[in-house]
Amino acid sequence: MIKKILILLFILISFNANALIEVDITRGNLNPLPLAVSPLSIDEESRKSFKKILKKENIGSEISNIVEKNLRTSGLFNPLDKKAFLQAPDIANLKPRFEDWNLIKAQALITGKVNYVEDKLRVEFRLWDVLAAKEMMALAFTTVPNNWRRVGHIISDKVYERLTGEKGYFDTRIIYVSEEGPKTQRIKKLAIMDQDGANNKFLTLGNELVLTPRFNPTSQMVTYLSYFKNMPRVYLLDIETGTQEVVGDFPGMTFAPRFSPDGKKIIMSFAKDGKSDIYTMDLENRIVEKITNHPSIDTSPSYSPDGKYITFNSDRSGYQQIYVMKKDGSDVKRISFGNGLYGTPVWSPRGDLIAFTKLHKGKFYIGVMRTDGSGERLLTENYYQEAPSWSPNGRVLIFYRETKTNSKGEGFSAKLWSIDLTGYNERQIKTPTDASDPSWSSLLSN
Amino acid sequence: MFDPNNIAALIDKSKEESAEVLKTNDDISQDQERNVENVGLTLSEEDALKAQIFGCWSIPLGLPYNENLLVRIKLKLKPDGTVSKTEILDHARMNKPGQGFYKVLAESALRAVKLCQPLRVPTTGYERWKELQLNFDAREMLEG
Amino acid sequence: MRLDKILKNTLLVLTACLVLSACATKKEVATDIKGQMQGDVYTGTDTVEYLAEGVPDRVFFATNESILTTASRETLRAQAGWLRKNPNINVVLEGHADERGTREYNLALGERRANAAKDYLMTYGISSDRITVLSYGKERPVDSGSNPLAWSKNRRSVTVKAN
Repeated sequence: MIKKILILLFILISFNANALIEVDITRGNLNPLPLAVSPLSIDEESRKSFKKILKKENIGSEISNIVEKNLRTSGLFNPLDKKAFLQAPDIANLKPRFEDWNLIKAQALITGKVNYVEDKLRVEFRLWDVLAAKEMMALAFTTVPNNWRRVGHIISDKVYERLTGEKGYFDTRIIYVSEEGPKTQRIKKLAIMDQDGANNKFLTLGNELVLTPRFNPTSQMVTYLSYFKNMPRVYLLDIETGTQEVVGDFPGMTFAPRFSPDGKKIIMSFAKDGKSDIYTMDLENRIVEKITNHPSIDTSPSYSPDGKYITFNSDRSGYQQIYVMKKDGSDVKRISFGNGLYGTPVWSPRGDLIAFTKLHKGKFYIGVMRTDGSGERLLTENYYQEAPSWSPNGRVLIFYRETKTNSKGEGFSAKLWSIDLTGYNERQIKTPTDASDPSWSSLLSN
Repeated sequence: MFDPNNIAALIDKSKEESAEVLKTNDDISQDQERNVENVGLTLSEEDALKAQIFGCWSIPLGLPYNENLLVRIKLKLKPDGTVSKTEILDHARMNKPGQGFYKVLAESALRAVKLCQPLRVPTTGYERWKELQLNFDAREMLEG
Repeated sequence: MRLDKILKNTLLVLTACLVLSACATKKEVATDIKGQMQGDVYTGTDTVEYLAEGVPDRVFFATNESILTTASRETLRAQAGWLRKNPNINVVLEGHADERGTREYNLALGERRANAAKDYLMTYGISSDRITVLSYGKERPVDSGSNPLAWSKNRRSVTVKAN
């Protein structure tokens, strides 16, 4: 006992007894942050002008709705019910009565106004810290009225960045494969839409099978696999002009394309004589380089964001597993060692993680691991799902999932889903048709 | 510095506390140390305050869980538990480039303190706790 | 005579089940009893078409495999004979995989399967000039079901006349 007291004494002495009392706060609530999105105020004249141009009764409310929906969808924020708001939008934007917003438990407040100025849409908005009773941010944009949805997304990105410390992902687009018809004769088209499902547009007609579209870093070009004339090859498509071209002149099937992080190369697989190897082609000088040379299947390559490494999957061990190598193909290391098969590795834009699809005991998982293979975390399990693609900030993964529409396993539907890196906030992204192979663009504005 | 006149009182107190800890949780030595460290507040006083702030603190969910983010806030308190002054101890870090996450965490901690006022402080011994340091650390929560 | 064979197969399967006590589901047993699968390689004739009399157009594979079974070799020898008799006919070998795999890997696997068939045809004297290999991965299943029998029908290499 004495010994024990002595030890305790020693500990006491080693601390300063008169020191400030310290209390460690290591727990808090993980509920989404309650905030209020006050509708953007609009003067009557501006409202009428925009109604004429955009056929929207109140464009201020429409933009606020986009902001509100984005923030809610992120899972990090809880936009409060507008019916509880006590202060009118125009007055709130001038000087919020913080007590009123505090009363409805809002911790942050977004206000703003919309004006019609010389045929343009001018939007200003402010973000307020309700508890600190101060302005956190104020910004204004002027743009053509047709860009109103993007204005909503840009405001969402700014608020997200100010409140979370990292860039948002709302002013982005998704390219994917639209699917229709029976499984044995599926019709597939390239389609593109805003991140929230708006502005859906088909880019091909469905005459030939298309698969695995992926954006370049500026999100203006797409590389994908097309069976044009029954020859599966990697193509390049300019979204703005619609021009298409075959990538490289390979005597056989090329597939699994992706851009290098600088956008100058395409990395892909070329299959010949029963083996698939990884190649790159420089888009400027058209020089082709062979990166792997192995009698196995090497496919699904993806660069690290610094361009120094490549992750891919290979069955050189006998089963499909994930590997990492240097960009020249040297120093190949296997990184997946768990039970099951691993495929579709994709390097996170932050560089610290690789997302993958895992097959184990008849189930498909979307997961992430560190780039040395440690810290494997499975985010979601289902009968069939694959092909994760990262949001530009590396917080969210989009993928696709097929579900059975009846118990006999006859009908099925394929949809796009997103999930947070934390494994929470799984949600379906609505598409007009069935959908697969999503690829997330970079932020369109910065 | 250490006041030798208080040794006896402290030993008594530590006895009590170590006994209490042993009763509930004798295999977690870390907890024992912490209890000893915070001699200024009794366990139950500290628990009451913590529980209150836990409820007020909305942890910013986007924070990276693998970064070392600790925000230390010094509070000056009135006897009724209202806060007369808050001071972020690494304030310089708030506006440094590349410390966006720190700033976000610090702002959330300040909001928690504001939201919680008046703090649930002990009814006696104002001199003990009129200044208080809160260490906000979200790692445990974000990892889980 | 046919019935005899089926009975024999059934008995074999039942014995195997008793010995290994590892037949996972009743469904699998039922499938085997129908005599449509050996291991997990499809042995039925449901989906098979014929290039000529006695010349089946397709061969089947085990999960994740591209090894030709004895039956597959027999089929391919018949195809080689037919190709020798018809020197003006060229073929496309279309390789396929079942849905239980990632899309890109399955594209490669389909190529590997069709290529296994091509190699075998070549050892029976068919020039590689007459053969094109094409993989559809899991994009063109012949059976849209999601069960072991459907998957076994879909793991295939189909020889198609190109002209």
